[in-house]
Amino acid sequence: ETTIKFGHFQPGRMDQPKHAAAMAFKAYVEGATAGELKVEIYPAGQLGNESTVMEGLQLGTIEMAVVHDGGIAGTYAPVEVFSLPYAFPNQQVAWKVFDGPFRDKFAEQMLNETQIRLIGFADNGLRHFTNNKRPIKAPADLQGLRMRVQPSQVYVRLMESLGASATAISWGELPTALAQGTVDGQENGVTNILAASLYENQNHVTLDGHVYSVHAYMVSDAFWQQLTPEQQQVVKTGTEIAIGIHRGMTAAQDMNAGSILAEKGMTVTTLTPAEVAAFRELAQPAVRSYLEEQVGAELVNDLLTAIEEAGK
Amino acid sequence: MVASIDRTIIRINGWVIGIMLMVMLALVCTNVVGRYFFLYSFGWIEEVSRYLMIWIVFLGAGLALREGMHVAVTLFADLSMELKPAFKWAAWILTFLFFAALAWYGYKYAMFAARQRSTMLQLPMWTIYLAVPIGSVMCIVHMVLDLLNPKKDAEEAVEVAE
Amino acid sequence: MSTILFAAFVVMLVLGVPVAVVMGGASLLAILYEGRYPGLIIAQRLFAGIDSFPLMAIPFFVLAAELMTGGKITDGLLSLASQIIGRLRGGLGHANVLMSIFFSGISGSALADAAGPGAVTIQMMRKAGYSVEYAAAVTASSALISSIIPPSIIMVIYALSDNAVSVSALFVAGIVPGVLMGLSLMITNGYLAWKRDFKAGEPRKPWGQFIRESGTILAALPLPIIIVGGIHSGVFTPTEASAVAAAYALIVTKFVLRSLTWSQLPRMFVRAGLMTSGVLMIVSTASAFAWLLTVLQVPQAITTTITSLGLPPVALLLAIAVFLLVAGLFIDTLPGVLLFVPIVAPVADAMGIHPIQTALVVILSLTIGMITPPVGGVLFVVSVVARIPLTRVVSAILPFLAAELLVLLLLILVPAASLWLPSLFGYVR
Ligand code: NA
Ligand code: NA
Repeated sequence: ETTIKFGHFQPGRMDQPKHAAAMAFKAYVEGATAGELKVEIYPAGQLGNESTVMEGLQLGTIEMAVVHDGGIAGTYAPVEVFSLPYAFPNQQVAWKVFDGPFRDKFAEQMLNETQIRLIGFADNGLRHFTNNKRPIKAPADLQGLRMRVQPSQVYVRLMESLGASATAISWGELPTALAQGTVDGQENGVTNILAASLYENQNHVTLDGHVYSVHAYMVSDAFWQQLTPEQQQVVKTGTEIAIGIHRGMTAAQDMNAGSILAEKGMTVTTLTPAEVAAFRELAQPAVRSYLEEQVGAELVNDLLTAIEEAGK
Repeated sequence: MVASIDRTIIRINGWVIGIMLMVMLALVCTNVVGRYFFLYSFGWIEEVSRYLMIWIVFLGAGLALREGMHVAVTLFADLSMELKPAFKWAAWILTFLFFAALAWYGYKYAMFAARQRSTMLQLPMWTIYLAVPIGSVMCIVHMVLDLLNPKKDAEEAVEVAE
Repeated sequence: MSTILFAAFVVMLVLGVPVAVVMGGASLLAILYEGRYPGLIIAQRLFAGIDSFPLMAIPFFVLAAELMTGGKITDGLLSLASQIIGRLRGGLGHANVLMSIFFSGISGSALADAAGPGAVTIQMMRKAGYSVEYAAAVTASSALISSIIPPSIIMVIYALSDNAVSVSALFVAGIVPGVLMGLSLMITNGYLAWKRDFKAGEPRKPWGQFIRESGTILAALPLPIIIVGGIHSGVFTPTEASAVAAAYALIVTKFVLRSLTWSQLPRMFVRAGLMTSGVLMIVSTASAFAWLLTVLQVPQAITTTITSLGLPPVALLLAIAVFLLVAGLFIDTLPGVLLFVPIVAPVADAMGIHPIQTALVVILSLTIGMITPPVGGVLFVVSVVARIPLTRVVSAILPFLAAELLVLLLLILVPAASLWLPSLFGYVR
């Protein structure tokens, strides 16, 4: 009997996309292998923070994990390319890119460099701006706001290019920082806004969808090599099922973002394509030049080409 | 000779820690002032000050061990005067072995992570992970120096605690 | 694997190996013995255990207390306490407790109270004719208040171990129980003073004269307000508040009171750095130990067992407290929080107990463990600074221990004791 320690970072509740997906993976894999493969789920970062989990995958101490793009960047920087702001026109295009040849090439290079096998991408959802000062309709409205970002240069550039003051605060400290007004606002997807009840201290949300952020389902290659081809196929299929559930739940939240957040008492601002363009014009070049420095112009071009292809 | 080498090592070790703590304090205060008065904070400060703290912890472990700032349970060792030296030696050897192993595995870990970069400043992570093996080596250095050049005060403190 | 982990833990603890090495060494041995994981995982766990911005509050709070003590402000706090309450029968005992309440507003650790001002108060009580055991007992039991009244290092670590509570909420929640502890100790001291017929203390000086002589203490008074008020109003995060507190302490003692010389300063920074190392090495190795427990599914098993007992909430809290008091006989507060909070907090939460109440019960239970033999950090420090054997302190401390256990019982039975103040501040929904 082989045990798969499966780690993720959402609370261990069934209304959380990652946890529901992980439980489905467990049920499928244990059933399909008649218990030959046992799956232990470790929610809420029980196995350690993101960089610890990434190292665990490399070392083979953790067999499988779902990590968001920001948590992968320290181990495999090219993943930051997905944070190019305002790059994906819609979800259909995003999914096509996440499942297509761009993903396969990305996964192959990641495997060579890190010994981590990327099985697939699910959604962490579209990221939006929230704050407790004023509705944000144009970049000028961000001027002078203290906005929390995750500790990542991409997000610092994004925020500063739009005129806000970026403060890097860890996820764990964010609810307190918002409650106490240490920062005025932040940016996150609906799932995260709900998971940490961020709406309690944020009155305004602008559904600009600046980044389409991803969650990667990854398996330790050291572990993968110990599996029989049949077992590998079961893990693959189980992951596809999990990704289906994960995407379904996140997409439902993304598509109903306006009504979900309005129900929580937030003032929802939506943007016309022209208004989004005003944000894109400022943010995309600033982040793009940084990304080209960090991960290479080729990768950035490849992504943009893939997006264009997928949009046809 | 040993005594003067010992004094120098203790002094340098102490200064390094004191200065790192001072820099940490200055950095964190800079960001508070920056955010409130200039609406600007440096994203890298969180990262640098965190790594400074980690260096302080591991570089300070050996010296803290000598200054009696590590809690240990000496109650059982104190039960019998005859057995006490045996307990003391056993504890010394186990502690030595632990730090020797940690120095080795800490080095291997730093090498394993050779290509990782920090998120904000893109610092190579091995420069920070090296705190573990270097701190462990310092622990061993202090343990050996303490054997060669034992401190009187610590002895007295132990006597009194009985 | 779990057998070797626990066996190595007990053997090394008994041999007198430093606690940090005990937990790190037992974890390493278990990892190597099992062979499933590469040895370098130990280095990774030790590093990850302290790779946290909120933990940085610890060096800064330690530094602030160090500067305040070095800058003679704590001496001033002691004179203020004597001035207020010292003239009663058993007055220096009362002053000792009151002094600890004041000091707890600038110090985050019971050990710092016992080692710093504690040493001074024991001397004073001894000179005034109290038995050294009694002086040590009052000092040790009142030192615990430092871990309950904000700032508190243990609360910083607790909030890291349980996402359901924030440092700021715990800080506010600690104020009432901390003051209750002080009162319970004063009542005990008053009763013993009456029963054993202690003499009355020095008469009170005229306030004018007192302020001329010891006005320096006024400089220390804004510090607790900076810490709690600053965090609550959102001016700083808890970590930043700790840095501001240290900077404040530095500026006041160095430039306003001029009670610190330049030559003293490096020593204070070095000492604070070393104390930080002593504390965080334990956090670091305990996180490796806790990781092994998690991977061995120990917390999961315990959680299932406790939940299946179907205890009502109060009985559950009581059971948790008793369990932690027993564990606290052998284990220090810090590793106690790191090892047990991930186990008990979710269970209590599932039973509908407010996470803040659970936190206070857990913290006080484990903190009391610091004055219970055989392993009690505060007990060790006090017996060293008072220069008497541990056993003599233990018998003198029993009545004070009983008083603090009553406060713990109160926290278990009356949720409002820990929740009322935080709810006023909006931390309880
Ligand atoms: Na305190
Ligand atoms: Na006291």
